[in-house]
Amino acid sequence: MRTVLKLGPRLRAMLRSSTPGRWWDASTALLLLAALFIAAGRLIVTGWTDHLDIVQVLMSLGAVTGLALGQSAFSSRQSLVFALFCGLYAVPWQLVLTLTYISDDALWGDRLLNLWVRLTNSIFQLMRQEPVKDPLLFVCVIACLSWVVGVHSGYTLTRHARAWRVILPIGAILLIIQNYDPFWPGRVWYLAAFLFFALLLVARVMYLHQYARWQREHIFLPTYVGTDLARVTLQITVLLILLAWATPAVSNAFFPAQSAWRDISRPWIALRNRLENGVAALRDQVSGVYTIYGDSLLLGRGDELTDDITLVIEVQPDVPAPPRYYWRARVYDYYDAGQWTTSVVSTTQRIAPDDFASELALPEEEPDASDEGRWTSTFTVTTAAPVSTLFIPARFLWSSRTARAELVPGPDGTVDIVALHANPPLRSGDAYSIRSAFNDATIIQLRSAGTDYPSGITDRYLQLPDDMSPRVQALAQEIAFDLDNPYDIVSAITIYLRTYISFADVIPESPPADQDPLEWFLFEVREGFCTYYASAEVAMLRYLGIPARVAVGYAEGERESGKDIYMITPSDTHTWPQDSELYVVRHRDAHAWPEVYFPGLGWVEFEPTASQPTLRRPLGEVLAERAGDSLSSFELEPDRRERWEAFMEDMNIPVEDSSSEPVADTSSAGPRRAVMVSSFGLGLGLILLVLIWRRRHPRDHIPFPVILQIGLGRLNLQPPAALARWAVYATLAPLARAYVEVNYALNRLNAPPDPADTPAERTAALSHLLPDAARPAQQLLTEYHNMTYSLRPGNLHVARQAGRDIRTLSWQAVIRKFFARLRS
Amino acid sequence: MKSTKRMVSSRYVVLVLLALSLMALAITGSSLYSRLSYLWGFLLVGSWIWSMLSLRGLDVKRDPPPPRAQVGQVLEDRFVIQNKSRLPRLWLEVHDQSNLPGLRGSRVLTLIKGRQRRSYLVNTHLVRRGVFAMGPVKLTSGDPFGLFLSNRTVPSSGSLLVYPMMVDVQAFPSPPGVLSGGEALRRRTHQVTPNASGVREYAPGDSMKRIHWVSTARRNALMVKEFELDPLAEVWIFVDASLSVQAELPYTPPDPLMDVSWRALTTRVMLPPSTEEYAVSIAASLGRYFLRRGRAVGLISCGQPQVPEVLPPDRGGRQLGKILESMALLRAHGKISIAALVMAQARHLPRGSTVIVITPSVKEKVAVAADQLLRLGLRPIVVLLDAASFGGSPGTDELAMTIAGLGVSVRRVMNDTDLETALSVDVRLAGVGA
Repeated sequence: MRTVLKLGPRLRAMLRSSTPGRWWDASTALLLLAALFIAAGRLIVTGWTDHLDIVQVLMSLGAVTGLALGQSAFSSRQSLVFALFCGLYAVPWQLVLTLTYISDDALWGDRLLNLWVRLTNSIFQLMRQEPVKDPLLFVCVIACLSWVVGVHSGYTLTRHARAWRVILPIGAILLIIQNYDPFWPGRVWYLAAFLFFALLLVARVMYLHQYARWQREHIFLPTYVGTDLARVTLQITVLLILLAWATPAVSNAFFPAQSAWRDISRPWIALRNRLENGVAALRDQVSGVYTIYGDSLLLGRGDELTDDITLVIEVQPDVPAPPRYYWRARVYDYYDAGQWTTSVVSTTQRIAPDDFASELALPEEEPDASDEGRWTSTFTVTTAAPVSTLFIPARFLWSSRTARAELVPGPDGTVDIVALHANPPLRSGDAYSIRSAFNDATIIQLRSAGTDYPSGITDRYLQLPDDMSPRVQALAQEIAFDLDNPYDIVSAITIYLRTYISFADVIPESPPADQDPLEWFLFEVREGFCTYYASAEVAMLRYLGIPARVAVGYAEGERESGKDIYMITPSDTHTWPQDSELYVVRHRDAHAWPEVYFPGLGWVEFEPTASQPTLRRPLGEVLAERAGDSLSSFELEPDRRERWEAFMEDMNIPVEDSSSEPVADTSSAGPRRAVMVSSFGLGLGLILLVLIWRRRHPRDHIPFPVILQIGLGRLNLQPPAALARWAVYATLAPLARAYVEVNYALNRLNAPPDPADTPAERTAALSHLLPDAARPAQQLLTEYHNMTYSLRPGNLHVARQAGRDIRTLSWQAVIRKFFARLRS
Repeated sequence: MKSTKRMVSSRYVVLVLLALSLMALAITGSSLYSRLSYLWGFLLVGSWIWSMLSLRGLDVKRDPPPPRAQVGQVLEDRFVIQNKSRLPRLWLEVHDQSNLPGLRGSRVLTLIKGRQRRSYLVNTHLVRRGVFAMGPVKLTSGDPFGLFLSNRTVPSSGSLLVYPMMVDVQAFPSPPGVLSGGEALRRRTHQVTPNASGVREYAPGDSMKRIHWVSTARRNALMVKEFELDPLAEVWIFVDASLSVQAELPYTPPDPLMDVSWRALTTRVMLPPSTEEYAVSIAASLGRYFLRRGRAVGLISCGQPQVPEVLPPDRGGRQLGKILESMALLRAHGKISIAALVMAQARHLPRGSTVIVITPSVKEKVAVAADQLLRLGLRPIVVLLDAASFGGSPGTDELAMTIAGLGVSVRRVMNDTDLETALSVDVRLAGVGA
């Protein structure tokens, strides 16, 4: 059956009419399609869910529709309606195609109904703040967004020829995708390719504008101009991108910026977490928690940490457990200016699971299970988010994942592992096994370890900044007074920190720039979080000649028995046997702790952070025999306490024992300020929006004071005189506003003008009173006369500037007069 | 202007992107933002440097124009662009800001290599009379992404005087003059004529050149020569330049960019449908016609509000140049009507002079003025421009009949008619509507 498209007369007329001001250009259209294709491709390669390929189709279709609508004679409103209708067809059509489980024979109505049911379920789940288990909602949102972006880009390009308006939204989407899918370095080239086409598009659109101007101004154009420009622009764009990509990257975060950003973004974290429910069904997500364990560790101001599960670690039930597990991600050995870094790191190539022992020179013979205090254990770590860092308890022996290792030289020709990075990175829900060697040193072993440190250890782990605070040194000496055993010294420092320093997950202000952050922490603010505790302990130990380092990762977490644990992705909910022993590690378990080197025993963890439980080590065989010996482990004796408190009084430190107090909640100051900052930003944004609106709708604009005055009048309230004056001022013409400065200035100088005075008389009076203002006053008068009494256009800019000058000069005169009066 | 604004906003967009990238870099320390910062930074700085250097070492020269030309002629204008620098230039806009209509000197050049010299020749069909500045030339260039523009202006290289268009008048009335017959007129003649009638005593104000030394020696008193007025009487052309009577139809000059062929350049220029242009062209054509016949031709017009411009009669090519120059610059902005101008000036004209009045006026006073000229012993010829055909007031026919009724020769010129023919046909003989 032949379908005849009947167009109304008006529509026909519109289609026939010429379309001036359109910017159709085949090259720009192709560049746009290429840019969109890359953006869609970037989303598809994330593999976040199936059927993302519809994005490419919808973006391309949308762009073509937008290009056609932009070129058409339709008004913007008609185009919007048309695009909406097309979208209402195209998006469901593509979404229905993703329902592959429905038979091909099924009617479209049934398919749409199925789609509708799944979407409504997902939306209800989202509204109930439950994680959405169906990825269709995400696909639907992305599909709609793709259509909108495609149409907007095409329409803007042919209707307005605004390249940046086209590029910026697509670029923003690409950056968001890159931010949430950062673990494949190669994928950043999608962004590079997009930037390549985007810059070409900018150049081409700018050429189109130039071309239009040249045509308008009858400037002769040889036919090869466009080709020449395109050729050179292509070369320059390639060069620019290669240069930007080849230049060594600066990858150190800037502490004040990080801190400010945390303050600003804190109020949105809850919202973000809630929205993340909507994408809970995706395969990979990034919480961003691992970014804090980069090459460097700033002391900073702390972070609000969430309850999101990060790792679930299954331990062997029949293997002894150490006093506490520490899931280490990285260690730092070099401290300077409030920042920890790792010095001299070498990175290995990818090491296969079977090659760890040989590549890392690990001891071939693992400790016998019967050997008291020494054992090995294997853990199965399941990650809740994509991550490259492998978390290692105690001394690493083996991992089931191919990984790259960052190494520093260890004692006796061995190597110390700084960090292990899975290669390729882990996706959320991935699991890996780790085997570690434990040496649960007893107190007696630690006490008897001695101080015969290998030179490799002392060279690296006794480093301190040259400008270390003398007060910190004095405190270290005071704490260690009369103690000659490294273990006792470490214990004393640990106890001191746990006793006299309060815990706060966020500190209200940053350390002053002119003060040692540790001195500020120990003597001024006297509160902080784990990084400060660990750093202070390591610094004091190093000062006392005991090798120590800072380790970061996660604290032990909650011990659970086997059960279903929900980890962000409901589709990947893991089930462990009922009798399995699990440690559920959450984001809030992120931790830093000191590790102290004991000859023959290696690195031993200590726990100075007041918010963490005390780390109790076994006494050991010999001391255990002396049951009830209270001196077996280090205890804070009353004499020592008195001595410390006397020292603290000498140092003007208020003596407060925080050990018995609940953990101080100082985190509220941060959010309060963050709310203030956010409110300020929001207010600023609103003002900006109002200003933009006023600029675009100058005629619709009723001055704010007038609105206020009218509002008060409706409430039968008398507007204050100042408001009335403001309203009058707001309704003045720009020139009158400039001229009124003369009147204000005369009032300020106590010579109010007579209502009968002409502008020239007022200007003369002002010039007489304030000779400095004679020139701007005369300029203002001239412009006023020109604009009011002649056909010549006045210069409003000059008039405004003269008005401002008069205001400044008159205020200066008033201030001078005031001070002169004071002096007399 | 729009284009410049767009460039400025584009620049700010890149600046904001750079700031955002740096901010993100400071917060996250991610190498991605480092790369983006580099990209926007390189783009911004590179574009700025490119733009700064784009006009350095570039020189534009154009051949000096001839001092005079005429409507209908083709002006050859040569532009030479010299890149003295080693750096190549991506694009260069040469914008000739001359006010000569139809000048096609503006163009865009691309890929000018280092030390390269480019030139182009522009042929311009002169379609308007007047004085035109040949320049200045504005050079514009910038970066390929349109973030920065660089401008430089090369000053004007002189001016060009374009004479009005003239037609070859084949036939036009040429009334003979009268000899004054020995009458001693104590009034100054504008020039020494070949007809000396006698001598008289020197009077204060007489030119020393006119002293007749032989008679002075003989009479022992200063004697000066008296001249007869020319028997071939002078021709005075009055051009009506009062603003109130002018008429013109909307006119779009041919776009020289639309047809760049040589044929277009050689096509005869059509006069714009304006009584002013027709009057000027007729005055110039008649001036040349009479000068070629050895007559002394004077010109009177009043293009300025109150000051009539009188060009004393003279013969020869130099006088034609003066007439053409005067006509090239004439603008019909006057306030004095042609009748008033004629009446005011006629009493100073020698008897027997031919007075040609060119006017688009349809007022009766023109006929009165013609009658007055007759009474003063002058020989008027009226060229009436049919104002109605130029979109002005009707009534030319009636006026032509009235003037013709006085026995005065009348030529009626309509819009789009061939001037040569129109000036040859007398309304008295052809009747109205011819």
